[in-house]
Amino acid sequence: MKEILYDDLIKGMQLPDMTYALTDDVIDKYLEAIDDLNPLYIDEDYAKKTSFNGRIVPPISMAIYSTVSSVIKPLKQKTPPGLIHASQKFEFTGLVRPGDELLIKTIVEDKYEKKGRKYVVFKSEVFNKDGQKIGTSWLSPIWPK
Amino acid sequence: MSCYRTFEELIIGEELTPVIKKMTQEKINRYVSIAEDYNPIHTDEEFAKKTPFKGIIAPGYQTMAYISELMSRDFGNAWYVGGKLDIRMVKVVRPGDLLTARAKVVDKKEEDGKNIAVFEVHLKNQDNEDVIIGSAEAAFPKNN
Repeated sequence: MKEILYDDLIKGMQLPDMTYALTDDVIDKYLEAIDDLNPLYIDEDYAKKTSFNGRIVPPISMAIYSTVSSVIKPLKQKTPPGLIHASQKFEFTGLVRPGDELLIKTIVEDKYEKKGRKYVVFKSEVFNKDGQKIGTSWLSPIWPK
Repeated sequence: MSCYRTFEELIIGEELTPVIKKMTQEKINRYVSIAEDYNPIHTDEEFAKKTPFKGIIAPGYQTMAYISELMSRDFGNAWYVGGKLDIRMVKVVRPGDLLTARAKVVDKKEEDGKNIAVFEVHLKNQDNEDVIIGSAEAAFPKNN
């Protein structure tokens, strides 16, 4: 795969839509990796008795499918080695449920150079299958070349 | 769910109970496999040693989840629907690091018909150095 360079990324550029399925397998591994045993995420009987009326998925899980490599993947290109994840913003706007099929729409919201470093800002909006926006991620890496 | 904090009871300057986590190589491996992030900086010590980081580092994505865990624990729906997080990764995290997620109430305000609590957030390592810094907001519907 060809590397995507800073100059290839254009402000306002829309990346191809992606879909992501939050299967139980993905959720279980994710919760183990972040070491979070909140029963609201893992115990359906418990979760049913709460105001959430069933299990939910922590919204920060957005981080696993809005990575730079994920958002670049549909272009069939890869990031150059040495990319650094500098900053991140999230807004959570709707509950995420196990089994959700998510649609992710990403644009290159900004790119700029500061103190000799090249920054890119990817904005990813995430929708569930009912079209409800469950959240937005702004991911800003330092691009190596 | 009465375990969640209310907007009214939060006091400016108050520190929330921290979340403490140990980072391990096993957790990193699990995380990168699920995030399909195969950057060898996270998993290959020989490769990582030759980079400016001089060793394996945990993905920033993974460690920011500890701040979200703290906010989820204390605020439930006010975080899940209406939460905002704005952070910078300022120092690397290594396997074996003991990390503490902290949040301090810095403002309470009304915006778009909701009560908003604003927090300064940190993730610190065992040497009390910041590895992540930033801010967070929880949004509480009114009359709730």
